[in-house]
Amino acid sequence: MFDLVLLGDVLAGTARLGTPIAFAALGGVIAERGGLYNIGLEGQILAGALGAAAGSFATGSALIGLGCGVICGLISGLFLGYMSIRLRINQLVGGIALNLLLAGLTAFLSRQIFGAQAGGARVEGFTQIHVPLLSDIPVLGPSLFSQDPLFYLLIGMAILAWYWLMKTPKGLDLRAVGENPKAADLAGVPVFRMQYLAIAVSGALAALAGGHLVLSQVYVFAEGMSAGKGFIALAAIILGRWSPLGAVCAALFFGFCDAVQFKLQFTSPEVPYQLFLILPYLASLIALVLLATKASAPAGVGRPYDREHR
Amino acid sequence: MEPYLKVTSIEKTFGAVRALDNVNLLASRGECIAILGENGAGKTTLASVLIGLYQPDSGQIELDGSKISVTSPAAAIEHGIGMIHQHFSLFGAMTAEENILIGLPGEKRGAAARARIRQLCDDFDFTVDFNVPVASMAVGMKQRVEILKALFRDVSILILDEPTSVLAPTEVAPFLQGVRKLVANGCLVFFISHKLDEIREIADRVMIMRHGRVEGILPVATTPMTQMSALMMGQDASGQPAEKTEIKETRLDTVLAPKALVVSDVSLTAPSGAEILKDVDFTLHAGEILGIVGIDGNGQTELSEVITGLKRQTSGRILLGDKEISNSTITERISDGVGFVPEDRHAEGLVLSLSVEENFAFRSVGEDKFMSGRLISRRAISKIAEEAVKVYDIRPSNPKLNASALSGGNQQKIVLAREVARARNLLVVVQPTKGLDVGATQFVQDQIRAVAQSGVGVLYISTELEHVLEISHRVAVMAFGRISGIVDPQNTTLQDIGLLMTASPEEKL
Repeated sequence: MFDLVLLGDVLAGTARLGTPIAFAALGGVIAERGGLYNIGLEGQILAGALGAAAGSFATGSALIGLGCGVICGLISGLFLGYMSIRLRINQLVGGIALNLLLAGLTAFLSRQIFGAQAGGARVEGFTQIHVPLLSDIPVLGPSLFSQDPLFYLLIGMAILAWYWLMKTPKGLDLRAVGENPKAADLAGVPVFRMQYLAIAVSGALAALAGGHLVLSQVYVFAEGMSAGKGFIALAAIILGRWSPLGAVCAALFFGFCDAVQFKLQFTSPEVPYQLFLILPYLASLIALVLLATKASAPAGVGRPYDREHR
Repeated sequence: MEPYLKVTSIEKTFGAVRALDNVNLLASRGECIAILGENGAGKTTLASVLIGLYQPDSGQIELDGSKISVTSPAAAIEHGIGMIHQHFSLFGAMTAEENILIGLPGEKRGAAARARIRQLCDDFDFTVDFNVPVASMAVGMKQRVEILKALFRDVSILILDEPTSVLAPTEVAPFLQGVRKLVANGCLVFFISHKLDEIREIADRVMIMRHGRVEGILPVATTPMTQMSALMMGQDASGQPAEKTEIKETRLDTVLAPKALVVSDVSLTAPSGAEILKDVDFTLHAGEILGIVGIDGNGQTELSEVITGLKRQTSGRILLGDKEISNSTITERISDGVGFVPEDRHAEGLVLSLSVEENFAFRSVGEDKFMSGRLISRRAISKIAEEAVKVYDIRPSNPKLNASALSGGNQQKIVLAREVARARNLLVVVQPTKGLDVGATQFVQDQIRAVAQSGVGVLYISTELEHVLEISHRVAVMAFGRISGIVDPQNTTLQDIGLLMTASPEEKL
């Protein structure tokens, strides 16, 4: 049953379904390495999706649309940062509040922008890029080297994030903030500035996930189209051990499971499809259990830093 | 000559607590000023204001003739003010170099920076291992990394917060030597300490604080120690030397007293296979204080945890009196009359966000004395807490305040009061006087003696050797998870104990 065509299909599906999760997970890694939980990924995906749809709808340019989405993500990230860093609100509560707010706000705004017509308005999106030569490789070529530009952007961003976090002085500073903000503060690291930077970048990356959904997958904005990807991304962060490359791999693994279950639905129509829907979640649970060791979350994550705390 | 640092009318309050009250100070480069005071006198608060951790409510700081505002630790670094905290601010997983360079602009972290770190090491005769993560260093070396971090940032003012309290006795002298060198190089050093003899040795002037106020800034050479401690303790205790209690003379007849605790062949193996405790075997008699000493990390903390039920031993038995408690839960041990003063009072001893009185009651809130029918009686809790606050002189004396509003010494008194009340058969205390001033230390030790005299067996685990020798009837020395010897503190020299502390497992004595 598993012939090469099928394998190619599944690989292509992996890239397509995994990319949004991977963007969001990458954003989550940056925030958590700086000591902040970004539970608002789900809402920020929606913000990015709406921004991308609106921008593309207004200008007819997918690229400008993507830019608009990223700006929406930045703003929502900074808002979450203000709640977590300045007001020191419980970060789980703040993130959930942001998710609820953005779910409602994006639904409302989309009706204002696109009207109430069913299915929304179709917008300009990205077309696939065929990498010369590489896309001619059998099986792998069409599935991995004929993807939309955001997939390649993801790979670039993952490598960039890894390099910045692990190899540059500023990346070291951010990791120090996430481990022990007081010690970092005493060493002269601008703790609050680094945290705002991290949470803004985190929001922007989550927004790219929304941009991918709209501009590379369905070309419309739909209410609640993030469909839990922001939460799966949170699992990918843990599975990826708080490493940018690890989180992206974990997200692509979830995408792979999703692609497999889609294929199984088609090939085995006699089995209730709900059973297949379980597959990605089951796989993630099993993976988390199997890979569980003394996992190393940043020691300071989730605890607001108060300089005058005694 | 204009003073280098001028501090004028600094005020700082935390809620109802006035932590700094009109603090004034003039200081020049190249001098060492000791800051002396009881716990909660405001020493660390003043330091935190100087390095930008706390913003003062009013007052001003002038440096070299011009007014500065220290809004953050980064701003303090820019002004050349650095501080070594009692609890180090290091990243355990990183190397010494990474710890020193963190937070600096990228261009200052290159090969030249690494060379300069080594140069500084040579200048100050510091031995630092640059190849291992900081977590695996001894305390003295960690402290040198902290000092290098400050030196690398070109500090002209360095604040040391009880720097010798974490050091082994042998590490103190080289450390003080390093401080002298700093002062000779024109650094202004503030030396926060409780230890009068160290202050004598190192400081030019001593600034004495009490209840957030500066009681006096005096030249060390011409001020008698009695005057220092009188100023520190306030008028009512003027000149009165700390009383020694009688108990030291009354030797305990351990053979006749009933057994309070029997630890027999207890071993504890970590999941990694490391042997943390190995065949620990001793008997503690009722009314006896058994001291346990050793270099930090040789199994003392784990031993206390095994006895109180926080950790389960891999093999061996523990008997409380005649009752086997090897597999009892923590709650069972508490109801059998075991009290425990843990090493880390913040993490394990108290819930800082609860009030003082709630801290007294919790863990035994189901006991009759705290209940009225099936409900908690706030009134009973308040009454018991108020009594304890009075007896233990806990300040501020309002039991409704959050435990976090109190200073370390007063927090320790809460834990001690609660655990002493609970210890009917056994009291395990770990580092009970760590970071406490002279008066508080004396008080804590007196309480522990009183508990022992009432017939409770006391296990006194500490790295502060002098205190252990003073209070204990017998002293057990731990090394590498074993008891390398049990000695009589009256007939033992420090050298003997030092040898036992470093006795390798092969040459068990």
